[in-house]
Amino acid sequence: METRASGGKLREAPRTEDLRTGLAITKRKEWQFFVALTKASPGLGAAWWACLLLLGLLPAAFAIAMGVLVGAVRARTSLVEPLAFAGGVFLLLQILSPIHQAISANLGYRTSAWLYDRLTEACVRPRGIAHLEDPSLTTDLTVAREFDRGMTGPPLNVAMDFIASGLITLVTGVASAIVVSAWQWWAGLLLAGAWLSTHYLLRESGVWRDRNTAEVQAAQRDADYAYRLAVEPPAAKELRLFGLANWTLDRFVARRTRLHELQYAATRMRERSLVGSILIVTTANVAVFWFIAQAAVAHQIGLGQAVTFLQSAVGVSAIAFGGLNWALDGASAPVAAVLRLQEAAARAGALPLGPRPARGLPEREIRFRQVSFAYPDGATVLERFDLTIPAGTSLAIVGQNGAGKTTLAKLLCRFYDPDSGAIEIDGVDLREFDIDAWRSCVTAVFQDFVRFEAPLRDNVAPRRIGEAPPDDDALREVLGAAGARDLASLDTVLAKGYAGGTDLSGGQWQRVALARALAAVKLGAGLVLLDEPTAQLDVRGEAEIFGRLLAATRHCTTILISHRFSTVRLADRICVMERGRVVELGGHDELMARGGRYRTMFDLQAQRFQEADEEGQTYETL
Amino acid sequence: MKPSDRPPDRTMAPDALEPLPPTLASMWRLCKLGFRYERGLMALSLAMSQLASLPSALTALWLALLGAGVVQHEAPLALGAAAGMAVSAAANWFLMTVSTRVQRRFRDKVTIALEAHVARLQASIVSVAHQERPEYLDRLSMLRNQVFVLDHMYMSLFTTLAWIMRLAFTLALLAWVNPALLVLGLFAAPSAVAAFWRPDVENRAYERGAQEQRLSLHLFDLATTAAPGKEVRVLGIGERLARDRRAAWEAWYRPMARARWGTAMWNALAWAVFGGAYVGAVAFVVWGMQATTAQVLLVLAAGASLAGYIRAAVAEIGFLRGFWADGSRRLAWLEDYAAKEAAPGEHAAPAVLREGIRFDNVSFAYPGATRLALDKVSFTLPARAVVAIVGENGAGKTTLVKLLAKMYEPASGAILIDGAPLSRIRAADWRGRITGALQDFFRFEFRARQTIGLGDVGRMEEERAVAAAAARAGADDVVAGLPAGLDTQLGRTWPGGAEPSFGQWQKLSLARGFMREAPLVQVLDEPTAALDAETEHALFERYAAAARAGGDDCGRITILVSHRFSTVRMADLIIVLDGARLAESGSHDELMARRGPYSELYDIQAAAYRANPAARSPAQA
Repeated sequence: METRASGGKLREAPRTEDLRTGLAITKRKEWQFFVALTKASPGLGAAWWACLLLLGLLPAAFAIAMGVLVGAVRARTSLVEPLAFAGGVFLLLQILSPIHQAISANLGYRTSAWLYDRLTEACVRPRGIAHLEDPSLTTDLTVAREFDRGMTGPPLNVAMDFIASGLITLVTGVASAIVVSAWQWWAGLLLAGAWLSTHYLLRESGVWRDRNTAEVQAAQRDADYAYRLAVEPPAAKELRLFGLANWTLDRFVARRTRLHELQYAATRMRERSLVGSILIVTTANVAVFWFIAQAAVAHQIGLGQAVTFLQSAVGVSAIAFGGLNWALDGASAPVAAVLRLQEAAARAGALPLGPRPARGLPEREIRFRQVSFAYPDGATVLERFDLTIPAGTSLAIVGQNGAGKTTLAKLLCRFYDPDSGAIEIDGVDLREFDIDAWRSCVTAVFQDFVRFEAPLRDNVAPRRIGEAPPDDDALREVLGAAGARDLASLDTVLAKGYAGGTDLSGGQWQRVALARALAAVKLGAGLVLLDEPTAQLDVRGEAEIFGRLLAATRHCTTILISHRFSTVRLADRICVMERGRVVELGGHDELMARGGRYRTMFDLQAQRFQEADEEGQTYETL
Repeated sequence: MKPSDRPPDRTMAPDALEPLPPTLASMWRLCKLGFRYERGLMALSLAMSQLASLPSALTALWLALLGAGVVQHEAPLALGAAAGMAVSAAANWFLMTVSTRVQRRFRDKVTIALEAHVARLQASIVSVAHQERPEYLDRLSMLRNQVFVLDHMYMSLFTTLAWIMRLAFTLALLAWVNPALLVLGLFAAPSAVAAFWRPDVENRAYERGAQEQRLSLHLFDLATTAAPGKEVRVLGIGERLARDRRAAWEAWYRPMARARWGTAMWNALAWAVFGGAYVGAVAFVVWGMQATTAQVLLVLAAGASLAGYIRAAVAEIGFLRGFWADGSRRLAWLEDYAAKEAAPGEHAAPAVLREGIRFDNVSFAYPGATRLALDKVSFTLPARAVVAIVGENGAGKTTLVKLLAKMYEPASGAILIDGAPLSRIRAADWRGRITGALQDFFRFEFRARQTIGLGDVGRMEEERAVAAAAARAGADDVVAGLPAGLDTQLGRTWPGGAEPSFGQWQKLSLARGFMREAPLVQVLDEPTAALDAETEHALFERYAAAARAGGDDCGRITILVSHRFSTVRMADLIIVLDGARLAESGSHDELMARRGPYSELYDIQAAAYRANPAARSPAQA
């Protein structure tokens, strides 16, 4: 429960919370952001800071150079050195600007790549799968995954330049104030204070701080969803079939407008603050400028100095424009979110690891012993479930949707551990095995199998790091066995939008997925899990493929989850599940003879064929 | 030469991707669009941004006046200049702050309008070609990422104008000292050239990496979503996905980064030229002109700010061209494309189907594909019939459905609705009269009531209508099983959302297809692939009964696309497709009697249910 509670706080403003609880600066998301920059690319990070500092200091240096030059003109001394000084500063300023822009953009890209890496690892590393399926975490994950797709702010590569310019401006302002203070210490302080006060007076209209309310989030998500519905391909056909364009768009505009009004109300400019600011600023400026001019007129300072101080005094106003701006706020939020998610995912997806080798298992049997299981979000799926599957046999599992069939497959893959009871492989608790070793004994085709946008070769035999590529003949053999011999060449990418890429139909994809399982069997997997593997195959395909599949996996322990009794009946034994329990178990003939649930279901499906055969009629009875 | 500058190429292959419209015209169109949606705010933003540009440009003048005052011992002039400088600084801040606020408001509001505009254009294009063809997808995905920043184009434009105003003022000051100083402006030419040339180079690098970018996003999705997570773990390829993702990203990023470094280098060089010229100008004023101190001051300050203004203007124009203009060109393209695709049919859909629908020699190939998806197909679907379409994968079943729903137009031949060509019927009207459930249905994550009710938006909130549709589709058990019934939010990523199983989603989609009251055509494309035996059986009994009862009496044609011959055989008419052609058609009995491809396929499946499967299944032989 604790994991869930902390995970749900992803979008809460850590800023206010941190201030309240007085946490160290290192927990602030801004801090984490700057640390992330350094980790993403130490070299670019250092260059970014160095250039930024120089670019901030150079305008102040130029004000000095101008004064020196004017002073020299006035004094009719040599102009070569002053001109070289001013020219050098000016040139450096010109050259550094474009370079810093490139550094900003590249560093932004590198940082988002770094975040994507952390996120990918956070999802991929945990051995279990709870962190991907637990609703409380998926909410956070969805938000974190979108961070650089420009939905909540400019992408990092653009934001970096904004962040940099805010900081450069601030440095310029402070450096200018120091130059002014070199003349009269109070003058610099007065100006800096006046400009700084504008930040304070207008603080409420700066960043939208309480944007993490439920209403804002809901409006944001609704708007986002409606927009994607309208413009992205998956819903395109139904959008047209049912004429949903206007409905979707009205929804989008209403949510977005509401969002904007909320933001506008929260960040509206307060007139009194504005008038107060302009009074303070004007007074301070007139006082200091007047004072400098008077000193120049009275010859207390030379014209050159006056020019330097006046230029610098103008430069101090940069303080009002610079600082940690809105872009930083938007850019640092995902960093903090990803870091938090990393911990939460590692906790939620962790499984105890065992040392035992598992090669060649199961040799004798797989046994569910009193297994109870509930998903993290609550619903109990299995309760004291008992089932023994002899090694080398095939078992079909049938039952209504939600009976717990897929959960059995997930437990066998050890995506989760049972809440109580145990799954035993040849008498040994599954938890005692080395999890990677066990998983290489298993191959699975799920209903929602993966369609890799990769060459056919990699779709059939996705390799782990360091694994040698299987030879083409072996690949062709398993493709042939899955009835997919002539789909495409092994090097053809199976997705449109890639050079030479092609898309497969649903049925063709399913054959590829079956070939993938057969390839794993060739590599030593002895347990084959098939979760609705032929739902998208056509008539000829289904009958043909299934026969071949059973032949190719004859020596394996095969578990088939299916709604189709024409395939189910081919299994050695059939298990009928209802609400997480076994209600019938036995061979096809045995169960047919028993006349129970299985028989009822089988007859229903077969009826429509048999009627035709026996009575020579077609569909009148339906 | 930029692609946009090329004259329209008439010899171009018809399905080659048309180039984006030219930059300036596109930007102008975007301006008009903004003006149409947010007239007042746009005018105010423009005025404020120009006004805000004035105070800072005055600094050089104030400095010169101050210099003159000090040198000539005119205290009032010097003090007045200092006061002017002080007020300028304060006014600069004030006007900038207010101008930013006004622009922010304008941009936020115009963004909503533009996003809606883009979404409306995409969603209302009659065909789905732009959603299925990779080249279009690439274009549109870039536009989608850009639309939220299109408002920056206005800001950029205003800012550019403001920089140009300051620039003009500053040049005037310089000319006032000596007209020869205007030459200084010419030395900014190299940076202007770089600013116009480099964004194209960067854009090309970006587009060349589209495949790698797509791959890296795909791998990221695989690694970070739950459904693929299962197989990723069994296969043990998690670390590999992470590594490959990074590799694809690097392959995409590196050429782009290189292009960006190149840009930085060229820009730095170009600005070094200007820097040299500035030093030269100061030297000219000091030594060549024997100018007064005040003049030197003016040139020093004005020349230096000139660099800032030119750089800002050039950078802003570069931004405009490199980023914002690109977005506006894509938007303009989408507008053109939508206008081109809008084939405004002149006829309304018929109220009742009397004879039926005829496919007359219909051929079709997907845009960009060479293979025909349908090849001279002719048949008639009689009114009130239950029609099944069978055929192997890729035989064109789904294509038939798409043509019938006007998601594409036939390349040749015609679809006739009671003798009138479908192409002349208004798409919106026609779609108001068709309904169905698709194989790759979409999981609309709304409240269950809406998820179903979307099938007939007008009656979406009517409890009775929604419940009836759910019952007809056999989805009432799904609804009953939801925690809050029809009011349950669907989709596990939503707060309090329930996640139906695949089969349950499918039933909900089926229910959606039963919402319309009197459709002329109801398409059921593989609607039961994930349903269990009992549900499927119950369902088919109900359909057939409903279809034949003809209660609505509008001549409805029910079209079933299926692999299951147990379903297919109950149809009045069976259309058998084979390799994009019509293989045969007729009733189950006729086709069985003919001993053609249909009866062959039927036998294979029926054999699987007979007493001894091994004896008859050819696969076992």
